Amino acid sequence: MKFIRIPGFVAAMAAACLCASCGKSSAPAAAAPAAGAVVVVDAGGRTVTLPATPRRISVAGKAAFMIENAIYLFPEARQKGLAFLGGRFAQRAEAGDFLALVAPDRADRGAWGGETGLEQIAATQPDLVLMKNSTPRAGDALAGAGLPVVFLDFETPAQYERDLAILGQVLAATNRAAELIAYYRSVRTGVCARTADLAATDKPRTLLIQYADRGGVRAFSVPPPNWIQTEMVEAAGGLSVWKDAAQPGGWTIVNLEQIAAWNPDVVLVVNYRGQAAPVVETLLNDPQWQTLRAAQARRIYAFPGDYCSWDQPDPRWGLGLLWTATRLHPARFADMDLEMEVFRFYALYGLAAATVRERILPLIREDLAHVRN
Amino acid sequence: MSATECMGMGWRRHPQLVLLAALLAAAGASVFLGRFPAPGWTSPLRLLDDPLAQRLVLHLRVPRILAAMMLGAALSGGGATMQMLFRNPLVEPGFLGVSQGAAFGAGLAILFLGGATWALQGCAAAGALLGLLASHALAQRLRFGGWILRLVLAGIATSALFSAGLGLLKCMADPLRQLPELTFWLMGGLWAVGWRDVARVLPVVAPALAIVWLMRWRVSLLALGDETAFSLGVAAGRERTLLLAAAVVAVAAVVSVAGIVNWIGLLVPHVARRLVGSDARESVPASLSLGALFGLLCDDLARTLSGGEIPLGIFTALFGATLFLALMIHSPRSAKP
Amino acid sequence: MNADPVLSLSRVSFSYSPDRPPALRDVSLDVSAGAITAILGPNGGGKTTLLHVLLGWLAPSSGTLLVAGRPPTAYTRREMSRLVGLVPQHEHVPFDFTLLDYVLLGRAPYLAPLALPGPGDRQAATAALAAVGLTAGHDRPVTALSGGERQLAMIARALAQNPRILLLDEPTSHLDLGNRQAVQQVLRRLVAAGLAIVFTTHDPQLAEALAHQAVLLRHGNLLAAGPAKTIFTTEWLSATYGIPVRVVASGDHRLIVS
Repeated sequence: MKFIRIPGFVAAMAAACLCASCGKSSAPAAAAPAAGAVVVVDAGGRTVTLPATPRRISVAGKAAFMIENAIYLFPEARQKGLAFLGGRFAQRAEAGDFLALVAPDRADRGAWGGETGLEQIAATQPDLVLMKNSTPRAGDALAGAGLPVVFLDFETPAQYERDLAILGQVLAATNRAAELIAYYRSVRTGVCARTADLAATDKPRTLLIQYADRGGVRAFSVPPPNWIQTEMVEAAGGLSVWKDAAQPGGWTIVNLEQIAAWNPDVVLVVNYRGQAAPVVETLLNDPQWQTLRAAQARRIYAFPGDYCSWDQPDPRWGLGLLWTATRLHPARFADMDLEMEVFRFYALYGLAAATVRERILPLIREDLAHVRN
Repeated sequence: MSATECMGMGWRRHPQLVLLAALLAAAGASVFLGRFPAPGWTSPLRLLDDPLAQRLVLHLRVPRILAAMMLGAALSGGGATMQMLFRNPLVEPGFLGVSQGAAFGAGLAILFLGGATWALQGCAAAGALLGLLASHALAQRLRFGGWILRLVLAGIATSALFSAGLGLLKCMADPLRQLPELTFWLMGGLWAVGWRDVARVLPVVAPALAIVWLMRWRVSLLALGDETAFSLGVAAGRERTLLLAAAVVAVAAVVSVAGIVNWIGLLVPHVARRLVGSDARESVPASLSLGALFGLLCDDLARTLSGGEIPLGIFTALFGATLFLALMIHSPRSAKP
Repeated sequence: MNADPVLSLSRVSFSYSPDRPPALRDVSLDVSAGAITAILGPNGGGKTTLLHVLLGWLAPSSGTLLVAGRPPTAYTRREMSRLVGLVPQHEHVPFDFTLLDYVLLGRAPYLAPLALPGPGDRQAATAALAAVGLTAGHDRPVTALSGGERQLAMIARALAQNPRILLLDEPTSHLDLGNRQAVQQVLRRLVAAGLAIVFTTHDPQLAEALAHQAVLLRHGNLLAAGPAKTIFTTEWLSATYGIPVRVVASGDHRLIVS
């Protein structure tokens, strides 16, 4: 006695699939853009046509802060009506508010957990919505309500170049975009030029770990192979020992045994929840860690950071790359003046040198001091 | 006759119509509820004047309201059907691996088939079917406890297996392209719903739930057991297959839009049975209407209370459980639900 | 007694699966209208299987079954269900249908697949409830009924089918004396109205009180079939149950003592 008839079920499923396929999405016919229109291809591969350069821009979503940090690299952005909704920049508490420094007259922003509601976005009445690339359906829904959405990634160096160009298009600031792209390119080529001719044996075996302390239990984790941290280490002329062990999608916890098995030449320690320098001190004095080659050579370094750690997909990744290069190959990069690079970077935000010296340098002085040793 | 007496009489005579009227009233009111231009109530006058408000209501609010009603009706109708057909008041699509199977199927479609519409829907339906069959087959093989317990245990195990499978897919997914979409399934909510989604899902859900509604008296018959059903001239295998297929297809379709939302399928049918009696002629339509109403109200809160999206599952669990407890305490007519 | 039997089994064997011994071996049986037939035997002897074969739910591996003179295949399922009604032994439905709705389910054979019961069906259900003596409280949930009332409700549901044959599986096993009497009276009334009744029981005393005809089954074998008077003897019952049984005459009745 068959409780459920299998063939009948299969037939019903097939019918359902047929029904579902009726709702196939069709691409709208492309019309010729009117004069003054802005056409961009966004990070999701969608072609978005804006009738004119947008004057009111809303940045929304869980990762709104990533776009927020990047958009202020454009002085043209300050003439726009900007609204930020959603994920706030998680800054180090002692550092203060970076964006208040950059744009003191910006309006108080709303911040909500989770994804920003579409109506909330629409309530700001923008001409353009910028969002971190996630589900294209949100774009469709907002587009239906007459609000164009451009998705951006800002995760890897290559994406930075592409997304800065897109921002340049929508802000009618293509020259500025070219300048910014040139800056990042110069940083990259500056590093890669000096590491390109390195043989594999000259490249130090490098481990980048995140330190986390939860309720007294400390854990070390490594980033996925396709994240910016891994790319940074490789571009700076290091061999990332953790690439095979890391799982895609998130940080993978590794134990001391695994670290000892790798026995890297250099260890870079990242701490998102506090300062990395004290962690490095603890590790150098830890008897278990002292068996490691890197500890004996005292080549365990704290990844520097001012408002946030420089290893993240944040505009500061250029500084992170430069610093990593100086740690991995101190001889080749002996002439690198990191302080000057910091001034050079923050000038992009339009910050005066005096401001940088007073407010930002103190945050990283200790980390940069290590470089000179 | 006073107004309350009138309402009481109306309720007793035509409970389904009262529920339907309540649903329509709530849907109508929901059109004016949101966060534009300010959190809370949008005045109808504003709606007439402001073209942006009109666009917003038409393209964001209305499809979302429709989707919420479909979600609630499908999950609740599916739950009511499954509870009767499996003679087990403790099951729902989320407990029998149906929702998780649908999410897993959708995940496979995103990862390996490019996430095209038809692939997504078809794979979700196939995954949902697989979840149900697996739960049932497993329950028949268990040796521990009565049927109700075995089915619940098997369903929980199957759901867990599919959830784990989905977790594995998350590991394999491209973090920039595919992972956000996948994570969305596990969260559950109607955040990014637009007309395209409604157009995708309505042609599947409406006929499926229509089948369930048309066969509502047969659901009672099928709850009696195989030999009795046979003696009453019921082709139990065929009718059960049709009803379960319809329920599973409807659930898979809404899961493909809203991800996994638990508790509606379990709690609303209980409430419906409390309100209109156990006979499926009344309790199945009531489950559909109440489910739609419940989904609508929970989603109204999810999109209005805060500028950030609150996961729908929080409200469905909170209100569903509260309502359920209230009704259980208030009128303990019999020991069994 | 009607000359033409409404149910006729001829050398029927049945096996649940090829590698298991047959549950029924070569059973022949005639059931007439207006008569009560009891199927007796120890547990596991094939009583319920025989009932399911009579219902048409299990198809015999060999032999023939005739229902009102024709094989079951000559009827559609709905037609069969208008002829034969079943009162099962166990029915656990964890939902509190009202008594009337529960009995109304018995009207399924007269309703098209998507049709809902109408006023005529409600009348039939109410009449069926009256026939078993449940005249009031039709709004009560079935889960609130006593064991005896539950049994009567199931009989009423089968009656709502308007069958010519009523099959009952262990109708009084879980009932106390008072309820047992009530069920017996109902069955007697029904048979007087022309129904053919077949019931299984493991209690020979019940069979003795009710049955016109008895069938003794042991391990699927038909030991004896015939009028109750000739069947209820010490020899036959001892052979059926495998334990010494004494039949003591007491006026019109016999007492069966183990």
